[in-house]
Amino acid sequence: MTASGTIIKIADVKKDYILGKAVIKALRGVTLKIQSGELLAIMGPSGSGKTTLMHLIGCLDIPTSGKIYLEGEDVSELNEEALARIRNRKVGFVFQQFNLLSRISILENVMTPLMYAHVPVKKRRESAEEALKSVGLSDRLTHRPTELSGGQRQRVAIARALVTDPSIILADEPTGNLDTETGRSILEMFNKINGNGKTVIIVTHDPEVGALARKTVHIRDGIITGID
Amino acid sequence: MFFENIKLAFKDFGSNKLRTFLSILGIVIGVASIITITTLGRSATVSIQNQVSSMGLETINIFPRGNDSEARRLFTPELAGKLKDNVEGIKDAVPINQTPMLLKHGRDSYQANVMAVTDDFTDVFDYEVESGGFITEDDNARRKSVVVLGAEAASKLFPGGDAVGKYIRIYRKQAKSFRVIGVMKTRTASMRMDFDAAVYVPRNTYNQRLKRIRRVRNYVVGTEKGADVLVVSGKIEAYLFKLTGDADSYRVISPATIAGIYTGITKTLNLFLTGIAAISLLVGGIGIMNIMLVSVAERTREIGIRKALGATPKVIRGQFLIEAVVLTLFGGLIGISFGTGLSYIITVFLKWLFAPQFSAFLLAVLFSGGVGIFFGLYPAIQASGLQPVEALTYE
Ligand SMILES: Nc1ncnc2c1ncn2[C@@H]1O[C@H](COP(=O)(O)OP(=O)(O)O)[C@@H](O)[C@H]1O
Ligand SMILES: [Mg+2]
Repeated sequence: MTASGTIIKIADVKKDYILGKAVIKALRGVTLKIQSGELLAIMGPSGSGKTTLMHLIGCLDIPTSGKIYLEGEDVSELNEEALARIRNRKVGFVFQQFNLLSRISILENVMTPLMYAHVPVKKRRESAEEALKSVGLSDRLTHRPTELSGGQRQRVAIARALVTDPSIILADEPTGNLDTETGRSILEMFNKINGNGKTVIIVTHDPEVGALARKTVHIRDGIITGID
Repeated sequence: MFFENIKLAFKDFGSNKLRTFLSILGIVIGVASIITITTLGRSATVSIQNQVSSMGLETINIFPRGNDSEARRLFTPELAGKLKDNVEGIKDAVPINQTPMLLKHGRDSYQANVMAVTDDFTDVFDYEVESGGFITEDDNARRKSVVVLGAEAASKLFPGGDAVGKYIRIYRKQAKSFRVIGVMKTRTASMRMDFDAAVYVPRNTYNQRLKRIRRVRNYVVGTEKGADVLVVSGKIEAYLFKLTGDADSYRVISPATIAGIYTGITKTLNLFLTGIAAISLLVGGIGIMNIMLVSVAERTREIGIRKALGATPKVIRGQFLIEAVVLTLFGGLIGISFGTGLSYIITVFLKWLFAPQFSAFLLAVLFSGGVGIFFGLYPAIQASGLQPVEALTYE
């Protein structure tokens, strides 16, 4: 995998949600190529299909039709078992609502993906401590997520996304629940992560992110309306 | 991952103590019943065996029943010989006759059962002489006026000891003098005979000097070594039925049959308690299923997050299954302590020996774990089947 190769290829992807008798066409045919090492912003109004697209790229769901390739592998028709493995190894997710596990410490939170990767406990702990150190939370290892501020929680989430050393980081409105100042520092973090060679995709409403990204995809009503 | 899941299970229960306790109540009751059943059953068996072996397992008691029955006419001194000739496995058939009479030695007096015996009496009952000797064949044949004292009779009539060689008077219409030739060791009462409070005289002497023996009150049969007591008593019953044609006119009782009756009672009790155990384990299992379904619903979002982090359906299933099993095992352990405590109290109360069984504890642990797997499986499958996206966006 060269840094300039295509890491994600999306070919005419459609996604329908069935709600009772109604069919909601969340994506109506999206085609997109993302280069390895890219920092990509996805922008669009609420309900335009951004999250749906992120879920499909992150293998949390499969498309109704069309193909998605991650590092050349077709992931559009895999079963749950195989999808789980790809989520675990290739992708790191950062959500708007942080999505930390509230009953366990932040260290255990960050160790969890490694547990699912069957990494030995000692190595898990080392890697998790390392990741938390890289986001500046070394002194909070035993704290519960609820004992942290929003910005700190999102940093835990970033550490958790990074801990398995995936090639793709997906962030769905990561600053949506944060104040401007904190949001800016989180964005700076993604910039740095991208600088370390990872492909980063950020969904945002924030024009500042757009400015940071070298490429912005605009989406509306489930269709890409422009790339700049 | 296994240990993480166990730790997680405990965290979850710790934060919901009352709910956790209520949900395992059925398991606790079920397992406590199992433990009580097995411990009491075992304790009963051990206690009965203990009691029975102190009575002498090898003896059989034959009584006539009713006043004018064929059997009563049958209980003559000659029946002993007939029994020995016609039933295999009989060593001795000792006729028993006894009457309460007043005994005196100097100023000391004592009311005792005077028993008419032959020399084989001690052999059948495993009855031992303390000092002097027991009645001999010769004493009986020559109708000697000799007496052997039971332990309590001896101590009442001879508070200072040294009874052998002395004379006592037995009152039957008039005082009759008997020479004491022996004193017996103490022996627990059994087969409706209070050995220590009795005195023993030769049958023929009894017949001539004290009371005419027309009918034998009852026979005590000693079986041959190695003979099965139950088989021999069955044969005796068959023989008596052949003689009388009336199964209600006699009774054949052995400690072995008494033990059999006890075993029968414990079996009935077991059946009853097993029923309770089965029902409460079923109810308990449903309780576990219910609580696990609630837990799955409450933790939908957690499941979504875990899936997003790479947990496969198998892993999620394992997590919830382990949680259910931890829950039921916990209930099982509490049940084991309750059941053991309860059966201990009952055995103390009934003056039984307390005989807990390790295998029952093992069984209870396996059972409660099994209930956890069986009833936890469905909620676990529900959890593992959740769609990651839907679980993640669940509010
Ligand atoms: N699980 C779902 N079931 C039904 N409809 C959904 C579901 N998820 C999203 N949608 C619908 O799909 C459309 C796109 O949603 P989403 O991808 O979340 O948009 P965005 O993230 O851009 O706000 C919306 O109309 C939304 O209501
Ligand atoms: Mg969204």
